[in-house]
Amino acid sequence: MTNFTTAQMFAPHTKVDSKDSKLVLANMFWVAFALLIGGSAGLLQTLVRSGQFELPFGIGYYQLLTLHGVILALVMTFFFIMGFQIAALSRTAGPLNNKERRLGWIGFWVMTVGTLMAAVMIATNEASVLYTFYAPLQAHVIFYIGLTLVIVGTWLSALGQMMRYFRWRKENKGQKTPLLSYMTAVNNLMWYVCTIGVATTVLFQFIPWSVGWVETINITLSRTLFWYFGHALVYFWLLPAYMVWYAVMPKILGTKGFSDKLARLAFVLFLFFSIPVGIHHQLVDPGIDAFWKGLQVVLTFMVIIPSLMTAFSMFAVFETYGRNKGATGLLDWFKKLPWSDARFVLVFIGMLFFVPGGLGGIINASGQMNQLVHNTIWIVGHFHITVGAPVVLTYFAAMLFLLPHITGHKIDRIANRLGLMLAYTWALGMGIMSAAMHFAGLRGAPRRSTFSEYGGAPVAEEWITYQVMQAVGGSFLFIAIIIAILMFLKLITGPKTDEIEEFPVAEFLDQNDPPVRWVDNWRLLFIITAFLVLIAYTVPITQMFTENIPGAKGFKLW
Amino acid sequence: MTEKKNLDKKNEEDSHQNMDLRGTFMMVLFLGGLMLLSWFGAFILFMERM
Repeated sequence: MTNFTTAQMFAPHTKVDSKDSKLVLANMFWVAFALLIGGSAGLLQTLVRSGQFELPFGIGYYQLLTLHGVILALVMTFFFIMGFQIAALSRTAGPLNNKERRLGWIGFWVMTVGTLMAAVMIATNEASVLYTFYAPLQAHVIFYIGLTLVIVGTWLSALGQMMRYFRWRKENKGQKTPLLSYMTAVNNLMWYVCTIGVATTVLFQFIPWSVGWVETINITLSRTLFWYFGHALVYFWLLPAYMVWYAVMPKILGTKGFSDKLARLAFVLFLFFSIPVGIHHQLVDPGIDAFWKGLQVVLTFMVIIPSLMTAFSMFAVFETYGRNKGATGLLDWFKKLPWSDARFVLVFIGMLFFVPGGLGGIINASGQMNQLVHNTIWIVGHFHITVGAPVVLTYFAAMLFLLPHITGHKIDRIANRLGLMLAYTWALGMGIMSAAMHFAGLRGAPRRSTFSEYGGAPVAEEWITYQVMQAVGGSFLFIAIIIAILMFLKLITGPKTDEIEEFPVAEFLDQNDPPVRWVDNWRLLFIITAFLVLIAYTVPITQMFTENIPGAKGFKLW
Repeated sequence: MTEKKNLDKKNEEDSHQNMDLRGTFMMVLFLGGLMLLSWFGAFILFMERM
């Protein structure tokens, strides 16, 4: 199988290989299906929380909440990431060979089986433990095995991707690796390192405990191992969106990316600082020394650096585009941006949501200040304007060019218009819902809780208006999901064309500069990542074994 | 010669030094300002509730 040359990589007619396209499309079908199911669950939740609606057929609120979290936060994102990364590799490095592709398919089927196992357990009300599956809530063992298979499936698929990347590297010694391929490799390395945490807790704690081999579970340890994985999970969702921002968006605008070197450095920093920070989700947990919480808060703040590097790069691309179109003032280049191109508008609106999303994240992670928002619905608002807007809207933008590209179609006027409607409807719904969540959270409204008047407590009365607003926002979001499904259908149906939609891949201003060696030194990257993890986690986890933390029996509260 | 001139011109156009990024600078400063404002807003609320 051939490797693409630099010229092929940037040529608009270079395609994702047809066999790879089938694998990508299979993953994307799951994305659409999961979006529809998870979005419907989300709508029903907001309606229940408004106090105006009761779930029919004995469906439990927490059952629905588990479904919503698992199918959107885990299933939809994982299938998208695997599909997109395979497409990115096939488009920039060259087609996968049979072995690499087979690993992608095995991964896909293992993820599918795992998803179905978890789904059956949720549907039969055996696993209403939410997507974080905190102990001592205890689900059926099949739920944990199902989720394990989903993770194992991603490992297999990612292994095929890593093999593709390293094959290109081996066969093109000394050359700069294709940026998109490099980025998938960074994301996959981060994924391998962080999923060790969740695999450990599920295999050695949850499974033995849920089948009754052991009676109790060490909750502090299980939560720590979960969040060792859980925060990096956020970046696993986000980095494919950043791939689109850095390496695709400039080409959509017809300009060049700001800096290939800066983009690689940002990804390396995300690799270093995504994992040794999970304890910022446990700032009010007992059993972890304040020093280690403080250290992980500092490490969390390090992520601000690559985030602002990304913001700078994107503004620079937009400004350069606007100035090429004749803008001369300080900010009038905004007006010149392609506001009728859905690929751009979806991403841009996502970026706008990321501004308050990032600001909220800094507040959440600020040590004691976390108490202001901890376990309130502010947090739910926060992750809906991070994963639920910039990430998902960028995924939609990627599907807008990727689906016609792999199925032999072109984005037509109707699909583009559906994309624009999707962007604005999503923005309206998410804006209303997440703003209401943030304000209600600041007034103390709890997360992970069904509708209650809390015995008529005056403070709880204040929350109800916000909960109605959440239902209004949720309804707009559901309409947006219907539009998204229609857009997907429009993109893959109809007569095929010879002039297939481009998978845009941008050149950078420093494209011809020699490669920076150390960012492609994987041993060094792994050692630094592992070193930071060991610094951040060795002592807190050791203390969880040495301090005689009492174990907990399992509970089924539903 | 003309070709060389064109290439030089293109390289010059592509250079980071020649970019007009006043707006980018303003926007990044604006983000930093928002960051400080929102953080201190939450901090004041936190201190009030202590």
